[in-house]
Amino acid sequence: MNSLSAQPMLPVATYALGDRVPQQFAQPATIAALAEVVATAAHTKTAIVPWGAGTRQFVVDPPARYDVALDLRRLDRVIEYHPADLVIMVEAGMPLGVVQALLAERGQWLPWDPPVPATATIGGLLATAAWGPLRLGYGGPREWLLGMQVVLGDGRIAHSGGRVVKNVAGYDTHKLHLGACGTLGIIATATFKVTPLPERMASVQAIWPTPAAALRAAAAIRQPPLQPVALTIIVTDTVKLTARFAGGAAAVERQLGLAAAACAAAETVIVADDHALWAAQQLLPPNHGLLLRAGVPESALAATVELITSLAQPDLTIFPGLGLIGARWPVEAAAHLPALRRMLAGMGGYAVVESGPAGIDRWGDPPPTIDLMRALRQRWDPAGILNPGRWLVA
Amino acid sequence: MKDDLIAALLRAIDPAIVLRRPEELMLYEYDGSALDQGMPEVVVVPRTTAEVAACVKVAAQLGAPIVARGAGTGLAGGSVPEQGGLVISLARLNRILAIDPVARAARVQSGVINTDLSLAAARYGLHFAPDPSSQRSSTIGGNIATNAGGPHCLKYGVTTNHVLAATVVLANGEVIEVGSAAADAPGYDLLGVIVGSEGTLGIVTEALVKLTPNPEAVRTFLAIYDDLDAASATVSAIIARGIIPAALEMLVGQGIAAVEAAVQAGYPADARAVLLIEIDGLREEVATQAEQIASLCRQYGARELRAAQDEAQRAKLWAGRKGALAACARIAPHYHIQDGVVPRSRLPELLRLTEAVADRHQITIVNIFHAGDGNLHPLLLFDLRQPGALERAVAASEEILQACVAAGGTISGEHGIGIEKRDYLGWIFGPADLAAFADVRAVFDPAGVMNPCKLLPSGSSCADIRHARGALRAIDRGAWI
Repeated sequence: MNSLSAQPMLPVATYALGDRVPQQFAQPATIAALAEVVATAAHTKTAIVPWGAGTRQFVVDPPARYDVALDLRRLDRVIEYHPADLVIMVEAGMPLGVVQALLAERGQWLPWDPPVPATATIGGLLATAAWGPLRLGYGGPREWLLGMQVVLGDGRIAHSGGRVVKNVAGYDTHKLHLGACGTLGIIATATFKVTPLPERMASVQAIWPTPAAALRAAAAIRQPPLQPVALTIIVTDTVKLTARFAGGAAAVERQLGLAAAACAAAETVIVADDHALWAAQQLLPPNHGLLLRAGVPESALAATVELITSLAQPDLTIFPGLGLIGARWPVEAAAHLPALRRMLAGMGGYAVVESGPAGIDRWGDPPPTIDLMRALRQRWDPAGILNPGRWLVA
Repeated sequence: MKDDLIAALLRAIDPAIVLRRPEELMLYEYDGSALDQGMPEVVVVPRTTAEVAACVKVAAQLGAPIVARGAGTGLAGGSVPEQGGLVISLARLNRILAIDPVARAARVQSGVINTDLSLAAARYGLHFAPDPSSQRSSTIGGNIATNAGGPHCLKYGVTTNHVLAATVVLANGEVIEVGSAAADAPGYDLLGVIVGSEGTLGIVTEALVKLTPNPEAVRTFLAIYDDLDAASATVSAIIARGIIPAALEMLVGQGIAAVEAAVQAGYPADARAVLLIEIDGLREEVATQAEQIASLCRQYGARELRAAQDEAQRAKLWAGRKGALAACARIAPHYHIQDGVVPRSRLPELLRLTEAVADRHQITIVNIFHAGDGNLHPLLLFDLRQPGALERAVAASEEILQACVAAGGTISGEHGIGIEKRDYLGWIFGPADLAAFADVRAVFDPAGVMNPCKLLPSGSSCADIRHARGALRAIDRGAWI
């Protein structure tokens, strides 16, 4: 393998996952070199783990086989950025933080705020479908992604979508790679639409006695004319609701007032410059406990909060309007997972383990469409070399 | 084959939903543009997902082509049964099953008319955001199949951004649910690839779609120009100023007079170009943006800026825009509509090129299009009775589309590939890309019975099918762009 040649900088131990260490690593600097690595690996049935900055490797299992760590961070170029067209195309190894800094120079941004270090790469964030609180107002990365170039598991370089904001040519296969955790192909480039930075962003915070009271306030804060761009309820020793508004200064000002009024019964503060506040408000980082993500239809959110809390005392981050909850359970509570999943399924929801001890059932029962998913993987990764054994479609 | 197919259908399902008389079948041989025609062997109009599945199973067992159809307003031949076989009309699956104002979502059958959903959601202050010009006729299922756009997609996104889940009948008759009312349910995003797949991966019979709150304030303007470049420069300037209008439409040349003749909304017949600009949102933002837009229009040389004075006038301006294609029948009896997209900054050169192409091929072309997202709709107008008119139109059309591709754009922004542009797909995708698309198709429909020979170039999904390159449609009945 050409790109496996001497790269003395990093020992293979840097790429350890669980108790597995790869024999080799590759750091291709071009998409052609990346494709060559994958094609050769497919030929020799060499198991590959794609790497960005490694900030979200924890959301899937360690690989069942692990021969080569494929580090994509040398694929870090901007291919095109035309501010007037509100479109940017970058290589997948570029950190999101670098992309945001570049856009900010032109008064633009990707309203995408996954709770990760600024070094986290575009490719890794897309592969793991990372998202942040701004998803409420702006949608997740799926809504901003215009196209991709991907190296499939047999080394083919395939692209889909395009570089314009509207495009119905071909299948939107880039959506299949979003959140596929690298099991269908390795993302090589991504094209996004971007948008002007808002004139002002500011937040209201309110402390509530119970999650139920905070959820009622959150529902009021989502009623027109209020349009929060982010809304979280963090339940620890306290219950803290934070609502973020963005846009023209006067419109933000009115919404702050209305939101504060909706929280009149609580202890409320308005945070005028809220960037540090939201930067600090990370999703719960992994620790030795269980980090769950539960998704339910919005109407089942309050019941789900009660359910999770009744089974084991959690720390929670609730995302009203998105139907999503991040929950940290003590590791002993893993025994309640089957019951939780059964009850959530009854409400049209699910729970996955984003971080937990080795061997835990991360996904629960596979979806009824699992055979289609397996058939797709079989087509694009026939040798089964991409992240084997790590994700739902193993 | 035909007799076998009909006999098998009659055995498997209620004969009341089977149409087979020639005069019945004729209604299903064309779509909204209609030069591509194909007579189905038989049509079914099922009332339930189970009936759709039963019909699919029967046809698939016989290897008959299966073409799903909503309202037939498509402009690329996607619902035309070019290979014969079975047409499944979803027209009877027209119930809105539930509207959930808390979740801001609606569960609908796929034959529900786009506008009917927004009307039903209005009591909750909500609407379905995708607004193709055909919305008073076209169905949610058809919108999903083509990933339909519309003027307000500039701000609110296209259909794929508004579908949460769908019930899909696969080629083997299996009924699956893709997507979920719960965000990020584990698994590949099969829904994402089914939206926009033009019935080649399966038939959507139900969908869970997002509803969007109606804006607090809306302002609509008509900016009038004597100079084409000034109008397109204004479009770029508005976007560069950081404003994403709800809609930013342009009408050029003769099309303006034709639209005005049809609706009398105050479109100035003598203008070189007009912009129809709509902004919406919170009232403070709308007020600020209205001032900014007025100032930009003046700065970039608008002759006049008119504001819609009331909802009636606004509705009239939009009726003019959305009925533009039909209005242009006043100019020439036949037309062909293109749907290329370019990066917004390349609009001026593409508009100039369109005019040069029109001159060179001696054909009338009017452009009535979604300027804000660079989605051109050159409308080629001609009279088929004139010798060579058709050939000149084909040549002009391809030249414009190639220029869109050369400018970094694409061959279809919202109408779809269908029959019309399948052989142009190679202009923007290489063999490896097309092979990956064919892989997806093979996973969902190994026998290739679902809307065969559409969307992908002949050869990649469709062996041994003859069709004219760049099949061109021309008709004189109503359609929408």
